[in-house]
Amino acid sequence: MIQFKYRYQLNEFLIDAKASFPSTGVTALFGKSGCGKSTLLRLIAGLEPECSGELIVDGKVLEDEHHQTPPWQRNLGYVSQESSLFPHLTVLSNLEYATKRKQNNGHDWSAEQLIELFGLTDLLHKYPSQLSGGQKQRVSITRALFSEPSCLLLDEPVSALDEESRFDLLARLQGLTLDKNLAILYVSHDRREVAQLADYILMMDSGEIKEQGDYHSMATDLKMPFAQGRDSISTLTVRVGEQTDDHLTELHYGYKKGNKNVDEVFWVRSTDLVKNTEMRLLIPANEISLSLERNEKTSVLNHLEVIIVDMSEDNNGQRLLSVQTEQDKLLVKITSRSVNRLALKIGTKCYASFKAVAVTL
Amino acid sequence: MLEIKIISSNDLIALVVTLKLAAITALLLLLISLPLAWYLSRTKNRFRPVFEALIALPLVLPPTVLGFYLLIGFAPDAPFGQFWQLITGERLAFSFNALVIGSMIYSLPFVVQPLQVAFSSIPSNYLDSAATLGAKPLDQFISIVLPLARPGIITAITLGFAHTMGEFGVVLMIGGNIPGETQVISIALYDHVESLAYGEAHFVSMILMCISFFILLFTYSRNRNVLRFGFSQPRHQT
Repeated sequence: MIQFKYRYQLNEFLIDAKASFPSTGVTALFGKSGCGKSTLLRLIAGLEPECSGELIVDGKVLEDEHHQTPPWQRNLGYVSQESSLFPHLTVLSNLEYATKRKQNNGHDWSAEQLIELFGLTDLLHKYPSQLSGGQKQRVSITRALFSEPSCLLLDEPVSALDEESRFDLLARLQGLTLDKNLAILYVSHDRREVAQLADYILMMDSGEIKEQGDYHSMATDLKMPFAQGRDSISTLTVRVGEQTDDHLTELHYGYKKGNKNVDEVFWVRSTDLVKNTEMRLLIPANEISLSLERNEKTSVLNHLEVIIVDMSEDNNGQRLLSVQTEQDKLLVKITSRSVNRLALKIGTKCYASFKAVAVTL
Repeated sequence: MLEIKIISSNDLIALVVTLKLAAITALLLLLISLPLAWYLSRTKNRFRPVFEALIALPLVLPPTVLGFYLLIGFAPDAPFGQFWQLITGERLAFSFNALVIGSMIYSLPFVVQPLQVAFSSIPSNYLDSAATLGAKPLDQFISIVLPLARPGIITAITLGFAHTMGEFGVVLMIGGNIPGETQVISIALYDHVESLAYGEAHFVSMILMCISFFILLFTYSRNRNVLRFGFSQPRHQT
C-alpha cells in the first residue's frame, strides 16, 4: 500500500490531496489537464522539496512532518512528459547510469528482458538526438526501471506521441505489469489509456483526489465521474485466439452461465495480437448499439446478451446506460429517443452489438 | 624601421611570468567560479542581481580603480595584507601572489558569466531524472552538469586566460614592475615605448597579438557557440 498526503500552495493554485493505492499493478491518476496531477507526481517523487507532506510506501515512511527523504533515496522511478534522456550519453550509458546508482534488487526482470520488452536492442549505441519521440520514451521508462524502483511514476508518457507509437508503448507497458513487485502510478487525462492499463483509479479534480477505487467498480458506475464523459469507455477481458483468413482476429470472452462455461467469440480487425495472451478489449460507449432481439442480419459482427442495470438522466438528448453481461458491466451511450422508442428501462434484457473496428485502441 | 632581432632575455622572462600568471589565474578562477556560477544559475535568492552586479563590476571599472583599492588593501599595514603575512609569512604587496589575486578579481566576470549562461541552459528535468535515478547533488553536477556545460567551461577558461594575458592597469598599480617576479609582458612593452625602443615594442606586440589570436582561434574552431557563451549539445559520432 502506498499512502500520500500533500498540501501545497503553488501561486493561486492549491493542491490538497490525500489517498492510498495498491503497491502492485497500475494505478491511474486521472483528471482534466491542469488539475494538478503532474505537480502531485513531482511531490511524490520528492522533486518539490519546499513542500513536505506524508508519504508511506509499503510501511516505509519516506516523508512526514519530521523528515523528508531526498529524491535520490526514495527508490521511486520517475518519467516526465518530455524526454529527459541525458544528451551526452548513449542509450546504453543512459541505462547504465541507473544501474550504477540503484539501491534495490527487487525485480524479476533482467536487464536483457527489459531491453527486449521495450525494443531497445538496436538502439543501444545511439544518442538521444537520433531517436524518435516514441523511442525516447521507451528508453526513459526502461532507464527508470533499471534502478528497480518500488513504484514507477509515469507522467503522461504517451501524450506527446503519435497514434502508432502510443499504441506500441501502451502494449509494452501492459507486458510490464505482469511484474508483481512493481507499482505504477500513471498520470493521464485519456480514458482510453486508463481503460487499457489501470487496475485502480484516483480521480483528481481542482487539486484534490475526489474519488478512488478499483478500475472495474469505478469505470462502469454511472455515479462516478470516470464513467461520465464525452469519451466514456468500458472494457471486457478477453483471450486472443486464431487469426482468420479474412484478416480478423478471434477474441474469446469466457464466462460462467449457471454451471456451463460459455465462450463468446468476437472478431477484431487487428493482426498483431499475440495468441493466447489476455487483453482488455476497449469498447467506447458510443460504439455500442442495443436491440431487443438478437439480430444477425446486420453488418455488425459482435453481439452480447445484456441486462440494463442503471441509466443516467438525459444529457443533450443522450443517455448513458450501464448494462450487465454475465460477469462484467459495459457502458452504452445512446440517444434518449432510442431509449423511449424501445421502452428501455432498468431490468430490460437486450443485445449489445459493437463493430469489430470499434474495439481496437 | 622595424628591426627583427632575437627576443631579449628580459622580455622572455616577462612573457613567462605573464603565461604563468594567466594559467594560474584561469585555473584558480575556474575552481571558484564553478560553484559560484552554479549557485547563481539555480538560486531563487532575491539578492542574486546584487551578486551579479558585483561580479560584473570589473567589466566597466577602469582597471586602475580596482588596482588602487587592491594596492591599499595589500599594503603591509592593511588588515588583508597583515592577514596574508600572518598566514604565509610573506609580504603580499608587489609580489606575484598579489598579481594572481588582482587578476582573479579583474577576470572574474569573464569566467563566471559564460559558466552561468551554460549552467542556466541545462534543463532542470535532466537533474530531476538524475536525482530519481539515485544521483546525489554532487554526483548530478559531475555526471550531468559538467559534461553538458563543457563548451561553456572551455569558453570560460579561455577568456579567463586571454583576458589575464592582456592585463595592464591592475598590474601597473599593484605589481611594482619587478623583473622575473611581477613584470608582465604588457608592462615590458610600456617600458619599451617609454624608452623609445620601438623595435622591441613591435616585437613584443606581435608576440602578444599572435598568442591571443591563436588562443581565440583554437576556442572558436572547437566550439561554434563561443559567441553565444552558451550551452550546446556535444557532437555525436554517428
